[in-house]
Amino acid sequence: MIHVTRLSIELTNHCNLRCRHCADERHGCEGDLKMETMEKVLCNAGAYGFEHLSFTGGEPTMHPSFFRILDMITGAGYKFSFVSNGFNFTEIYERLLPYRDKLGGITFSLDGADEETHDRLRGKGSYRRVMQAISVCLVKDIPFNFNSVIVSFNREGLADMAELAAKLGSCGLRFGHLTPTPSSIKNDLVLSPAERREAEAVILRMRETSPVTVFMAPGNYTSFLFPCAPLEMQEFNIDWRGNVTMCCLLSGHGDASAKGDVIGSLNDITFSEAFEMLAEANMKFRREKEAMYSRDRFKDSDHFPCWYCLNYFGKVDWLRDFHEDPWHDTVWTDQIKRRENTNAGTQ
Amino acid sequence: MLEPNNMVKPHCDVVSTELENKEAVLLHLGTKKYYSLNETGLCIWRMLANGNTPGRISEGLRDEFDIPAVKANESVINLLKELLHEKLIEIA
Repeated sequence: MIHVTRLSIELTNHCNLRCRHCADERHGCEGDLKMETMEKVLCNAGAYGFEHLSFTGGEPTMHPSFFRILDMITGAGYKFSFVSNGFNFTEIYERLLPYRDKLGGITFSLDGADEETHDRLRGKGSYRRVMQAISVCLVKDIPFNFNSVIVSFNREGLADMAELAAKLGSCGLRFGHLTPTPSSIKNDLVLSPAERREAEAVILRMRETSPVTVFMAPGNYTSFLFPCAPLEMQEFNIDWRGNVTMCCLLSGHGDASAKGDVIGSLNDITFSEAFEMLAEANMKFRREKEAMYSRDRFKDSDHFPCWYCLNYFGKVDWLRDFHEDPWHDTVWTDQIKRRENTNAGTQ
Repeated sequence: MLEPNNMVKPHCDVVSTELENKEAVLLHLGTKKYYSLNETGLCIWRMLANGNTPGRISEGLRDEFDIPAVKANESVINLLKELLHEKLIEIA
């Protein structure tokens, strides 16, 4: 049996912030993960070797039964961690303390080394809320780290962010590329492929000297074909609707027709059926990517693995309407998609 | 020099966070240094944040903790001096 190490669950797509870079369609405040789905997961996940649950969102702490869920999972012996924008942390941290021993850490979003930069992306007052959140963590001995999305106006301040993270006592700082959406492009936030690589080079250099652990989230330019946990079948993702998906980053991205990353709904199928279907889909994906690479049909931009997946699942087809955008020419054409699918099918 | 009638206020670069156990953490956004306040310190902080002079804060502290005026005054002045030195407050 395959042993997947990470179980990532999008608890809700409600959020208390309206960040400029966030996909509106993704966090449209539509709903929360059903408790029945959570129970189903907990009953079955242990058998597959899962010991740790990661909660994402939306803002996961906004799930109306967040603390009931923590009761359930810690009672069942799981450890957990979650991402948060930190905005409501001072209101909820007290209820979190009883679960401290099972809490691996909190990843707070921090998108600027100063108030102005962070708030420009996430809204006025959000920087100070994150600072309050980490103040609490420091006193209460809750491990925390930062997640920073690289956008056009913070990319010059990456080193400052690392310095800030170190001074504040963060366990680490993870940078990630912004996935283009219509709104992030309209807001002029998205880096071009060349700018992405410049930022990656800065981060690589920082890793040698930074006093805090600095790393890139999967998605950076690489010659590895399967450089991330989902593609290595090391992560099992469930979105707030109860769908098992190929990757948390892809969930909810793209228009309604781009649902190729959805394996199935835990409302309709069992956990073990979903697991088998995911393994099958993963194998198919790997086969097709290897075939495309071996035929030398990779575009340079396909070395950005998340970009490859977005194309593969047809989630950036809308970019064809953005003729001036530097990513426009890297969107796969229907012709490429048909040809690759046909080729893979005849392997 | 801090005088009893000086108005003091939290420095604009300071983020204060009250905790559940009647304590607080101050974080200076410039220096990135954390400071903790105990219950008395938090009481003083709240009053200065509400625009009270050191004299008024001393009176408030005396009432809150039922301590002699001299002791309250000394506690307030000592803390305000320290806060001022660390640039956690500024004279308004």
